[in-house]
Amino acid sequence: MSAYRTAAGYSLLALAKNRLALILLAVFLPLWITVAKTVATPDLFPFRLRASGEILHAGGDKITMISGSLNAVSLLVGFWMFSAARRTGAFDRRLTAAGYPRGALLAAKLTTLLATATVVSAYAVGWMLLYWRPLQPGLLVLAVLAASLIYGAMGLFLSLFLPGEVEGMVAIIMISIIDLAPQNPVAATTANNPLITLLPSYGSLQTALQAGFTHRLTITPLANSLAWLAALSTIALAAFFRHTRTHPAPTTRRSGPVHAYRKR
Amino acid sequence: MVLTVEHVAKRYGSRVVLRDVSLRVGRGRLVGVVGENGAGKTTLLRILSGDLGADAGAVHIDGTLGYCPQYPVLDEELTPRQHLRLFQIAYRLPGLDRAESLFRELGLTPYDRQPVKTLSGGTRQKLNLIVALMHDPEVLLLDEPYQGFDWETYMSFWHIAHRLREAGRTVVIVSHLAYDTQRLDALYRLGDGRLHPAPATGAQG
Repeated sequence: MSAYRTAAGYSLLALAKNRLALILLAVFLPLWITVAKTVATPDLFPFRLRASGEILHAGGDKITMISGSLNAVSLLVGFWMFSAARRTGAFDRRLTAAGYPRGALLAAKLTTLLATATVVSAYAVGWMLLYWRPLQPGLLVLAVLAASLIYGAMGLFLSLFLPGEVEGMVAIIMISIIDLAPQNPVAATTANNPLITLLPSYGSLQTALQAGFTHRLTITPLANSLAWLAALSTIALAAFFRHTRTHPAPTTRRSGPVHAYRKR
Repeated sequence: MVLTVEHVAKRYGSRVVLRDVSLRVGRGRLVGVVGENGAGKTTLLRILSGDLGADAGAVHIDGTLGYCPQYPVLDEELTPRQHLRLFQIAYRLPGLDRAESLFRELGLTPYDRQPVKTLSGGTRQKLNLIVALMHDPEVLLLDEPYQGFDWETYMSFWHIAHRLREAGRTVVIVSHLAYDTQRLDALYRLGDGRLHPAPATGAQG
């Protein structure tokens, strides 16, 4: 328990020292939501909610705000997690080789991801509530949280093979554009194409649109989010275990663990 | 023998780095391994530490192990004090008396609450070394451990190394320069993927 608490505490502390991410959180996220609200037209816009098949009418500014906030939290949490994973990769390996419980370290990483995604999502929805009253605010938080978690896990996943923060950031931006742009019911003519159900943010956008403009709850789109989250997390966690294993020589004999328990 | 290496081989793709490396080191011995850049010294130490897999051969280490990698492997955002706490958990140490004493001896105490990213290269290297020593391992593998040290710290390092030897610890030091051969019990040169005994040894305290 102490191993988990210490690792989680230090991990969150280190995350809170990422100045660029904090600036993005404080400035970029509210700016994006504000710009979406003020620049996009408030005219009602008809679109078909794929999750339920019904036709809804909603203000273009509100739809753009939902889409923009999903985009902003995705980029921010993805970058934050990528940056943290790149920073600690070699150190985690040394720490586990020295005997640090891998399960505790892993649980600490998941806690960090969940805490970051929750804070960022609540903050983003808080800003949206300044401009607009969605019909189901709780569901909106859940939808934004799903996007944050997926992109956070994607940050961990991308850190496995991309060398630096610039590469990670560019990759996350490109993925987010490819993910969200074709789904936007205001801007895209592709929003009705069945292939969009396969995109990482499909579940979040559909759930957020439901939360904003209906009193109903269709949870099917969140199954898509859950599948993405499970797949990316599983790959990232498997890679963590692979990365932190030790390599005894083919016929190595050791009298104990590499860095064994030592009573003093 | 505390450390026995038998016919270890390693290649990266078509490039053979270690052909056939064998080594036997007894308790309380201070051994140096030198070689040119790219000779495979770091590869050998990484294999001995378990950080890297070998293609063939056997390694036997009788006791606890401490490994100091060539470049500081630390968390830039954490302080030296926080590193001690993490490795205290990793090594399951009841206290940090030994680590505190090493902090004082290597002059790290004034920096113990500063994030690693604000420390100089030499100061980071001190922490890198202390993390490998703080659990008083029976076998120590040190890869260029005094890079960036000033003269005083360099001398402190050798003082610590000799104290470890007197306490029966086994120390293997890798270096690309054979500066300190007179301080060692034995010296080996890594060349052509093999370890060759080298002359000019004879430990001084």
